[in-house]
Order: sequence, then structure tokens, then C-alpha cells
Amino acid sequence: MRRVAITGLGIVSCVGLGRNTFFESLLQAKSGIRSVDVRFPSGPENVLMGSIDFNPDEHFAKAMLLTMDRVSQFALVAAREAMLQAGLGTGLTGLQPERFGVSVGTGSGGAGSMEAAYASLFEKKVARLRPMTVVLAMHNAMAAHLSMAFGLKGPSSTVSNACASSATAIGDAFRQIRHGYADAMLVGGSDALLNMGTIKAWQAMQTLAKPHADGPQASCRPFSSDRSGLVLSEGSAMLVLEEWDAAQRRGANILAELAGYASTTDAHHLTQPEAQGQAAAMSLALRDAGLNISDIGYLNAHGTATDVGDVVETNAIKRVFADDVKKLAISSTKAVHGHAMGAAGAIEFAASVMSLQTGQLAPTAFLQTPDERCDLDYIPLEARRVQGLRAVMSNSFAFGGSNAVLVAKAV
Amino acid sequence: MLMNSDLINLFAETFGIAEEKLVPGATLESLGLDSLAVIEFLFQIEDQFNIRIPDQPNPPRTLEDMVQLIEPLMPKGQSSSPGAA
Repeated sequence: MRRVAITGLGIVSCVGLGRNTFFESLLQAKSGIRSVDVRFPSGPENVLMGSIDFNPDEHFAKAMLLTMDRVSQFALVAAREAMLQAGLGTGLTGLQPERFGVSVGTGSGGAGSMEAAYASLFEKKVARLRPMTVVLAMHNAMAAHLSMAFGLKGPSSTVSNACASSATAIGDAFRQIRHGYADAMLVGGSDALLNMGTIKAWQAMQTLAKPHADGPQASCRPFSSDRSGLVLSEGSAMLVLEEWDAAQRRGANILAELAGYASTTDAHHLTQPEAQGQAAAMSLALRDAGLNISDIGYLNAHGTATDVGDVVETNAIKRVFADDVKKLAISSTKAVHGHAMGAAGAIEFAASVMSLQTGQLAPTAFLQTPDERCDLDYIPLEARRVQGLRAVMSNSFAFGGSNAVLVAKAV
Repeated sequence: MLMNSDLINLFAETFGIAEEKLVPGATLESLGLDSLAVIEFLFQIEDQFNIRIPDQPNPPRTLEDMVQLIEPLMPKGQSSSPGAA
């Protein structure tokens, strides 16, 4: 089987633009979550969110912006960074366009454009919508923009698997390369769903965090005894995957090896997670990578900071890592970048790869008092430097019962 | 020949196109606009000037075509003729 190299990373998140800003914020536990005054038709409310200060005009020509929802804008900015790092910023340097594809995940696609269209219809009572409405809102628009931007003519697909969307998209692309259907893939995810309808829908589910006494930035508290729920955020992470030998031949700087992937489905409940399905995904991903539990030195947990989710994931990790579980360093970085939904898997896998590269493990921010049911080494509060990190795992678990797990190995 | 009118200003602003490129004979395609973008602009004109542009069997191909299509429909005092500078 062919091996798969990771040669580029790009990130747009609520802590800022760029992978280095992102990783530095993770290490310093510097959260991008804030309280935003949202003017709902029913009245103003302060809403906790990880929103991005993003000026599209700094990145795109006006004509281009007419066709791009915020979700595609994030994806393209992240992809530019990833392609540049891979040495593909100005051309494909010998890689065949027909063998270079795109595989991305999104939970809500162009949700902002769709909400704007509904507002026009129902509030302004317009008789017609913008001609671009369809191409702004369709889920695969970002894949199209990415392929056009870099001339990628290989397979292209868009996965919508809720919070596991981009992890699944990365896993699918990994298999495309491993089994010879493509030589390189631009992969990742993006979501930009901080619009009124989405916020109200999530509020109704009673799963969103309440503001913490230490300030809004400290409101997402995975594995903590005083956690109160997740915080919605937005963003994108994109990675460049390449067939190992070809990447070496062209002299690419290989950041890590994408070594294993598995996905399972709970077939249990729309929203309640189940440890069995999660554990199965972790075990299968390990087996896929040809690794043992003792090889994994860091696990980036899904850790959304919901009451049920964090406990179920803890139990799932215990099942898989058994006697080695107390030696495993784990953290949830969502305390810093919030829950970017369909983009979360890619963002957190990128964080895991950066840990593998640097030997620095991001902490679980604000974990002052762990929930006694979450009794693993969740790297509380402060980053940790480790020697000889060989492999990392990243968990993504979604509403709908979809579980996706990625494993990367050091070069 | 430069074109100068509210219409052309709006066109330049919408698409971020440099003024010197906005000559009457410039094709919309050469300015980077596809058919959807042209419709988007026509809708914008309709909303901004509160006019109704009838459906066109042959959509405007050049900037001049577009001005000629819209100008007769514009409210009085809103000149949009090419080269009005």
C-alpha cells in the first residue's frame, strides 16, 4: 500500500489567521471565544462564539467575492497557506492536475448566504433572489473554488457529516491516495455558520455553554466539573496530502505521515454519543496505521464540553487504551478555538500534526477542576513538551452517530 | 474614451475593476464577468434605481450594450451615456 505524506497546513480560526498564530494560541491557552451582541429580530442578545475578525477585501478581488460565501473564503485562505508550505503556491511542480484532487468537509456550507436569501424573501419580501444564491450556498462550492484556484482536476468531493465532516473528508482522501486513485489531495474543512438561524437552532438544543465567571473567553471548559456546554465557532483548516514517494522525489518537506483512518457509526441515537462506536473507530484507526496503543503519545479529543459527551469519550478512550490509558496525554483544544463544527476535525488534526512536529502538546485550557468521571491525563492548563513523540490520534464524533478517527506518525 | 456615470461608477465599485478598463467596447467577458455576474449587476441596478429591466433574449455583451439597455430606463437626471465626461 502506498504511504501518504502531509506536506502543508493552513488554518483560519477564531484566534487569528495562520497556523503559527493558531498553534501558539493553543500552547498559551489563549482562547478566541468572546461574547458578541447579536441583534436578533426578537431582540439583542449576547452570544458566546468563536467568530473570526476577517476582512474579505484583504484576500479577494471584489468580483470574486460576489461568488464566494464566507465558508469558501475561509477555505481558500487556509488552502493558500497550506499550498505555499507544500511548495505548491505558484504551481503544481510536476504533479499531474488530473491526479490531484480535493476532499473537504462542511456541516452547513454556505449557510450565511442561505440565511440572507431567506431574510430577503420573508423580511424584505423581494420577488426574486440574487442570481448567485445557489452557487453561494451549495455545499460543494468550496471544493469548486479550491479546484479552480489551484487547477486541481482530480477527484473532488464534499462530505457533510456534521462534526465529523472534515475528518471523514481527510480519511476519504487518504484512501484515494493510498489505493492509487490520486497522487495528491487538498483536504480539510470549513464552516461559517454563526448566523442567527443556526445560533437559535443550537440554543434550542440546550447544549451551548453559559458565560463563565472568569469571563466569556473561559466559557468552553472540556472535561471540567463546571463545564456547561459547547461554544459555536467558525473557521477552516486545509492540508496537502501526497503519495509518499512522489513527495520525496520532488523534494517536498514532509511534516508527518497520515498513517491511519477509520470511521464507524453508533446506530444508536441522533444526538447521544456511544462509547462502543467511538472505541471501535479508535481501535480500527490504530490497526489501519499498523500501530499499538503504546505508540500513541498524544490524543486530541473531540471534547466539546458537554456533560454527556466528555464522559462518553473518556469511557471510550479507556476501553481502547486499557492499561496504558493513564500514560496517554490527551487534550481538547476546543476550549481555545471553540467548536468549528464541520471544520473541527481538520483544525484539530492540524493541531495534532503540529504537536507531532514540535513535541509540544496543547493543554486543555481552563481545566482547573476536572470532572471526577473524566479522570484521564487531559493536560490541564499548561502546555507540555515531550520527547520522542511517535504518533498522534485525533477524534471527531458527530451528531448522527458518525465517528471518524485519524492517526499520524512522525517522519 | 472613459465612461463616466453613476452606472459606470457602480459597475466599477461592484466588480472592483479599474476605471481605465471601462471603455464602451470592452466585452463583459474580458472584464471577467460571466452571465450570472451580469444578471447580478442588472438586479442590483434595478434595486438601486427602482427600475425594471425587461428580460433579454440576447444579454448585453459589451459595456456599451449594457449602458444602452439600461439608460432609457433610468430616472431623469441619472445620465449614463458613454463618454459623458
